Amino acid sequence: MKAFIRHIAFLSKRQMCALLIFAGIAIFHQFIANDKYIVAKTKSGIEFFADKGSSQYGLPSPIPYSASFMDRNNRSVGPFDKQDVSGLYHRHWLGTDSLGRDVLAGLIYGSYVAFQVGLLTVLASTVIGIFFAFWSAYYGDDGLRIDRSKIIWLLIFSGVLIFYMIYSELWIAITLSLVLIAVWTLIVRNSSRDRTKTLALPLDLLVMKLIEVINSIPGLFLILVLLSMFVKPSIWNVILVLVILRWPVITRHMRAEILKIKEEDYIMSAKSIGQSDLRIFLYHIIPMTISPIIIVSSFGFATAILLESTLSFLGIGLAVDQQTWGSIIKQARFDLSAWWLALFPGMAIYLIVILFNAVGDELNKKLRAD
Amino acid sequence: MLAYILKRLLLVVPTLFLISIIAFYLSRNTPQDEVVSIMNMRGLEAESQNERIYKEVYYDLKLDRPNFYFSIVPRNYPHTLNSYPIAKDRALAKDLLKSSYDHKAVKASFRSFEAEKHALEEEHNSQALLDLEFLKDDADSFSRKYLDDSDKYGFILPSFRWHGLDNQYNLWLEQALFHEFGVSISDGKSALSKVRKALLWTLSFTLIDFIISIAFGLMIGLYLSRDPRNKAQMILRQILYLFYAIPVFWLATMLLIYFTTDDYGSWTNIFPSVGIDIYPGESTLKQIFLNFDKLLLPIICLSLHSLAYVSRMVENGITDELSKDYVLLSYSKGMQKKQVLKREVLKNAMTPSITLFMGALASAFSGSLVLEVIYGIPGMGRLMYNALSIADWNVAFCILMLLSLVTIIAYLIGDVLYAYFNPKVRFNN
Repeated sequence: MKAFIRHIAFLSKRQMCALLIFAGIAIFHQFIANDKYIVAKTKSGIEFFADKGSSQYGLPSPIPYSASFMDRNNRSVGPFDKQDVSGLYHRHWLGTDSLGRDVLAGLIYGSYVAFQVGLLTVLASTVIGIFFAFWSAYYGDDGLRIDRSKIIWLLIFSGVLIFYMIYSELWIAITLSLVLIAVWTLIVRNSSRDRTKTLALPLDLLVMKLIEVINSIPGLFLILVLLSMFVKPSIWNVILVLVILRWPVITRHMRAEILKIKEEDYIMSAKSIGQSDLRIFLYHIIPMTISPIIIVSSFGFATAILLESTLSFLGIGLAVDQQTWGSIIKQARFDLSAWWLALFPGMAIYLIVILFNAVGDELNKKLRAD
Repeated sequence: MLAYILKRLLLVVPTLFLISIIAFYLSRNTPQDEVVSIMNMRGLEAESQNERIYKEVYYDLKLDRPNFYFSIVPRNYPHTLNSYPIAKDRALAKDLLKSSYDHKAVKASFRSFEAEKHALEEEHNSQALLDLEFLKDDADSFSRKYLDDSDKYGFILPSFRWHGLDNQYNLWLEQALFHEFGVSISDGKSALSKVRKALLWTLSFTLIDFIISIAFGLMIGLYLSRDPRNKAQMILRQILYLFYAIPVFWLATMLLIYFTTDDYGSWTNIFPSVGIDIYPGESTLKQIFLNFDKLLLPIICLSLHSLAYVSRMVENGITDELSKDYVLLSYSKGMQKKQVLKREVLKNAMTPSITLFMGALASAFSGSLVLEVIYGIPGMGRLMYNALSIADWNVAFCILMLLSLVTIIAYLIGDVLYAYFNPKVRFNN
């Protein structure tokens, strides 16, 4: 945590503010743009997010529209066009789309989607990527040695388990797995400890081959096939696919870092006093990789947001009625005179992408200077 | 070196094999149904109305064969579940088999179900027919009516089934190797010929972009690194950064909105409106040549972005190298900055960029779905998207195999060039 705070201190005040504003808008999007009262006094007492019809007194949000609210009187009006609204408060400052949905409210909801996609993709792909990197770099091709008999047992056990998980009812699979775990802990684990008959697991080779195969499949093909496997479109599918595309990048980067760290003396001394591999990973390797992780995450955030908006621009993966930055730009393609539908969401994507790239560059530069 | 290249080339075959197996597995597990797409194209309703035609198409496409050369399934399972053509039947049969009924009994139960249904159809008893159909939704009630407990196995053991060469993967492999990857389900043309046409369209704008971005990117990168504090260069750097971070699809949409219509004054209507003109009877190359004015906007879009990217990479590479000792040595020998850059630094700074260039070359073959959709170009990205959305697997696999091969070979060339430019790598291996 301390290391994390030290890195944040590297950022300039302007970048810090921009990051906080983006996160704030994304997290509190319901309080900023909503067609309901934030807090209202109704017949049943104080209520949050109450309908405007149900009460007379309430605290309205700064923008009186939510992303899905359709204003039937103002369809496809621009920011400077004459609008059929009562007063400046109800004006559509950035115009509306062909269904009468407010663009500004759409932008604010879109920032929530972008934040969610960026954050979850970065978190999940970093965790997966760093584990693979650890296995592949720390153990290498001959670091992890296991008894030959144990490998055979492990293969048999996992094969049997997978078979019954797929082909039989749940209770059989659960009982069987409990029995197998018991057999493993009681009998196999304490069986012969003949150090001479060990086999090295080529973890590095396996992980690198897996990454090579994933890299040689075109990304677009992977995205389209994986997204078509889900019956119902949802944002979680998009995040899952982005994680699958992203973790090899992080693994490659982190592998190079861990290979360097591995040779340091303090790792050797930790090993020599008998610390376990897990402890070395958590207490000696992770803290040293914090800086590259933050830099890669920052670029990853930008990439994830860019890919998500491209996908929703093409109408792949997300539900049709979900408002995102990309899906607002998509509508501009069908109505070429509605320049506001393309300009404002595009600016939002552009600013966020440039912000995260600048943060990554800045940290990179500062850390190199250290 | 030759031995290394040969070794890598030999490794291409198992990698492609692995990719094809992964893709085949994925394709068998997507919810889209190619039989339904074919029926839709013929203007027919879904499977429930036209069960007879559905089955005909299903057997026509040989979808009733097993998926792979072998399978490991429980002993009560049939040879292959694909022998149930209707998806609903297959799901029901799977449920029944999971509760350990024997496959012969399951088959018999389906037969008695069909017999009962047939009898009811003769009587025109629509209410009873509907009730009967509902039975299929629930494996429990279905088994209570048509099966009894004597058909159940006890504890199920796995068994290994060998299917021989008459399986779907082998059929696909045969088509891929000897019959131009089979035919497309949408128009009956061979998959390879469709991909060849799309590839020409895609390469017509991506290759130009590739050449522009590398040639000018190198020049601009060199120019920028010459003097980091020059005013003009700082402005150029900011402009390049702008194009680097701009989303391609947004730039494309904005160019489309402002420069192809009369809405914002007639002087902005510079480029022709989108959509490729079709000249019947002409070859694809001639068509590309005749439509070249339509390809200008996509070329501009792509190359603005990649130009910024390449020049940034080159500049960063050169700045990294400039702080090294051998540069100081060259200066102390009395060389000018220009000479040092061209003779000493450039070659070293280029080595990290080789992998990048090769990756860009590989992705030039896969095209850009976004630009092809926005500007209506019938290229690779759109062909892949359309093929996958109607489950036209022959075309999709053809594209996948081609692009994977191109990617692997491009990276191989990259590694060889890397070793050529960087003696350190060469001596370590």
